[in-house]
Amino acid sequence: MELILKNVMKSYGSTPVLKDVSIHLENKFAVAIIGPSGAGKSTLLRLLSKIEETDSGTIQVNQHVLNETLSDSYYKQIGFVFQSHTLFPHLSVLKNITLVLEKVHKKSKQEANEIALNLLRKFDLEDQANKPPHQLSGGQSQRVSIVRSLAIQPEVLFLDEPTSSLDPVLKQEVLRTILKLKDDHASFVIVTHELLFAKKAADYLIFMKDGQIIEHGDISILAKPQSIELREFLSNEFIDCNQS
Amino acid sequence: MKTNKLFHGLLAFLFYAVLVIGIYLLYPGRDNLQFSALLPFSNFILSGWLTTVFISIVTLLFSTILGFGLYLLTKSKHLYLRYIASIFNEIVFGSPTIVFFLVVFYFIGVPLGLGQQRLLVGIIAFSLYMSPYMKNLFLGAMESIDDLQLQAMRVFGFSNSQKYRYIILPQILKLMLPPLIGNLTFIVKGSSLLNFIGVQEIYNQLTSAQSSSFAVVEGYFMMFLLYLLITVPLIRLTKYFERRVSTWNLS
Ligand SMILES: Nc1ncnc2c1ncn2[C@@H]1O[C@H](COP(=O)(O)OP(=O)(O)OP(=O)(O)O)[C@@H](O)[C@H]1O
Ligand SMILES: [Mg+2]
Repeated sequence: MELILKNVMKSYGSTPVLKDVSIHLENKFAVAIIGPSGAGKSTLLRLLSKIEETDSGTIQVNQHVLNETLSDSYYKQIGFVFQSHTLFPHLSVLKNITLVLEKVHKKSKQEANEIALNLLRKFDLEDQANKPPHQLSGGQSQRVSIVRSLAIQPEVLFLDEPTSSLDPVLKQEVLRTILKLKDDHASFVIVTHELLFAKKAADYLIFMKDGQIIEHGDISILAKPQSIELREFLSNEFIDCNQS
Repeated sequence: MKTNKLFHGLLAFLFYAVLVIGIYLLYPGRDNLQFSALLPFSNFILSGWLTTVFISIVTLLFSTILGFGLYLLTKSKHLYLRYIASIFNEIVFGSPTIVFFLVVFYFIGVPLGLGQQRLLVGIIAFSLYMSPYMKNLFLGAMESIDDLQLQAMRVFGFSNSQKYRYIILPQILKLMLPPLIGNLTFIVKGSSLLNFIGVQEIYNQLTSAQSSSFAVVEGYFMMFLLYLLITVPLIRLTKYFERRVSTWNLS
């Protein structure tokens, strides 16, 4: 995937949240974004997926330049997995997946069912197909959310702390699902607090703080951080790890 | 537990029975009460009652649709559309029902040549009047759909109409059922005011029957019962659905 950001700014009201963010990435498969709370990670992801618009600056994701003239068809090319699952509560697991395929991607009902069932099988969720979302565990719900986003074969999948609402056991279950993405060479950008996981799953790392990208580079920079900020952040995270 | 309920039910029933008998015994002209005087007019009264039921159902339907339209206006990207909606809201909330009906009749109905179509104008006026209340129901129910779900719909590329049709309305209509029936009760009661623009609903028909039969007090009592006959079941239905909806998502 290609991610090209030039001087991206975003404020909510009078608070600047992203301050002049620029980066140029090519041929990356899995990008992890880390950083302290309030750094602007989720905001960046919402801009990349065009859930929100930039105040100024330009963003390009693969060949798509995200400006006002970009049509809504961009949404057909990307997937987004939120912090907590966003399954539609009145539809079964299967229908949650096929609705998008049928209505937005104009697949036939039969085709949509086939795609959905195949994916559910692949991610060991076939038993859940006909259940309503409230009968699933948190981990299962989040995995179905991921499957739902994969069903449309997105060019890029964005994941915003997909495991933060889960307990440690369920967390592993979802993280394993995401690792599978890597094996399939699906491109994704993930915001995460799971450093060990980031190390395994991602090939590129972006570290943000106070609305800026402080450091970025191959995932191996986790082992030898250059900036004081990242060093500090990592040592704090590892203290947290040891405590929990 | 069961017999206890029965016993208390009987006690309550007794209370009202004593109340009714007491009022009857205290009523000065009780020897002249003659409910049978209304009997020759029973078809006439029945048609009024059916008209009230008809108006209420049609008004519920139209005002729900108008209310949804009004809801969409209040959520519009365009400021002028939001202004249009909020001005209409203020007009409705600011005017007494009966004045609103009269104004719609004389300033919309008559100019449109509908001066003789009183039932139609009545339904239009009442639907317009109810639509801001219905809009509020939509607004309230929409709060049950959390922000992330809305963002998810956006990022999946659903069009606006698809969002409502496949995702939002199926979720909120269930929630809206109890307050909708509550509003229906309100509509049934309010429909009596359509009498003032000459709609031949039950209030109108019964007042005619009263003046022909001279059974005035009896007529009012009849009216009272006939309204309760519609509204009490509706109130019970509202309560029933309120209980159902609260457990719906778990079942
Ligand atoms: N919709 C919004 N309205 C106003 N302020 C917002 C909004 N969304 C985010 N912010 C603010 O922007 C800043 C960055 O938020 P963001 O959610 O991007 O941080 P984050 O890096 O994802 O943090 P976390 O790790 O806690 O999720 C925060 O100070 C937050 O309060
Ligand atoms: Mg966040």
